[in-house]
Amino acid sequence: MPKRYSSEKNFSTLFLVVLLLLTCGVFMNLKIATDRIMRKKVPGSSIIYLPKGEYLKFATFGYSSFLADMIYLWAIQYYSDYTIPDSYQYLEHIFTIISELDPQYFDAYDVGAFIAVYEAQDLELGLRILDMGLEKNPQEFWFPYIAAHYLQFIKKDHEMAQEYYKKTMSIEGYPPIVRRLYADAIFKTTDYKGAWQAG
Amino acid sequence: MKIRAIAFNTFREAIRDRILYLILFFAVVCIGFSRLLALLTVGDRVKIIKDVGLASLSLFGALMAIMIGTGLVYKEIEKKTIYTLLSKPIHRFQFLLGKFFGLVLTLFIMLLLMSIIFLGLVFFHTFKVEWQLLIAILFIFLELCLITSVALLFSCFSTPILSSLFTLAFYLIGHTAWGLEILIQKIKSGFGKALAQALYHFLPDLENFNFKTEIVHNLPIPPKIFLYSILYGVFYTLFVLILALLIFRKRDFI
Repeated sequence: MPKRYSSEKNFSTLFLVVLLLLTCGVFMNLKIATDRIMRKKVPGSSIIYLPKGEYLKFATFGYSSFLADMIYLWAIQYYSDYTIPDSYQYLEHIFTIISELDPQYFDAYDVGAFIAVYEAQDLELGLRILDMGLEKNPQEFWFPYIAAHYLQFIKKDHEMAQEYYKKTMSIEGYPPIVRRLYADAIFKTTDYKGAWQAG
Repeated sequence: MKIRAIAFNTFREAIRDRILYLILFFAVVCIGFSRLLALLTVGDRVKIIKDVGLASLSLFGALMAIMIGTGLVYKEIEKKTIYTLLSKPIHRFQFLLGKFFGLVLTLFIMLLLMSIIFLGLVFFHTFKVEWQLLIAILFIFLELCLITSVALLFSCFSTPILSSLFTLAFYLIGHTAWGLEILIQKIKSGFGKALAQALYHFLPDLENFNFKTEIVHNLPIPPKIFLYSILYGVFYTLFVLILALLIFRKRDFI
């Protein structure tokens, strides 16, 4: 290779490397600049228009559990953002989609009900989500147990709480405290004799 | 002049590729399918059509760029036509740029066709031409240019299958790299944080070209971001092309 050609090639390589580093610096700075500009977003806008889970399941090509995970993860982020107005409007829709995509998704019902009761202050919605969980997982005592808990300690509806405790006790594996809470619910309705027998 | 000749030749070669028409067919089917999806939804139907339509343009455009772009240089090497080409007074940068612009032209034509069908479908539902959708389409085109340059880069040193996988990975990283920002906030200061920050700034952020949500919801977009996003696209593409050229120059074809 002639010496002149070789030095020309080296020079052009050096020029290209410098240009490469320069463009890298420029696009990294541009990235910082674009990050500084606040873009208006509709948080969760894409999810509220999702079709029902039963239709969506067809489009997941067998990855319905994966999609349920993704929507669940998204929902947690979405409901952690207190700047979103009316964010609870679609709570039931979102958790219904998750339950249809993955009916055995225990945490989704539990967390969905928790958000409904404590964040959205909608106990009825929380109960609907827990009922949905029990309907799809009849072996889980947790759903009626937690529903009874909400009714007894938040709504102070001891009669309804008794019904849910009864459902809990009809499922194997419930903890001993359920019987005592059931007795307490009966006690609160001033049926002392019944409370004594239940406990 | 030489770049233009190579570009037109690449364009002529690309539009003869049957896979291009297969992807175009699926893209049109998908745009049409948005009408069916709109019937299943609870809420605004036109929104679904716009969302699915724009997603189809972006996704199938990217597929076209990947499927054709990854074979551009490799095919020339495989068929040994590159020996004839490079023995002529053509610089390697002219060859690469010609290939790049040829594919960009092909993608422009394909995107134009898909956009006409998509805008027609939206018009059929709203009875008005929604020009603001063109902004989203313009940025999809910019994204496709960047993907083309990446496909070309991998095509310079790898087989089409591997190049397709790498470019697909680039596309996925580009659309999920924003998640690093959340990670950076949660990492304590130190080497890990510095590394995450460096990666965050270096990795492609294809979300800079994503104005689909804002356009569909008619949200105000700061005009400054258009300029920055265009410049970001241009400089990132330039960066990848220079990298491709550096690698291509190292290859021995004599």
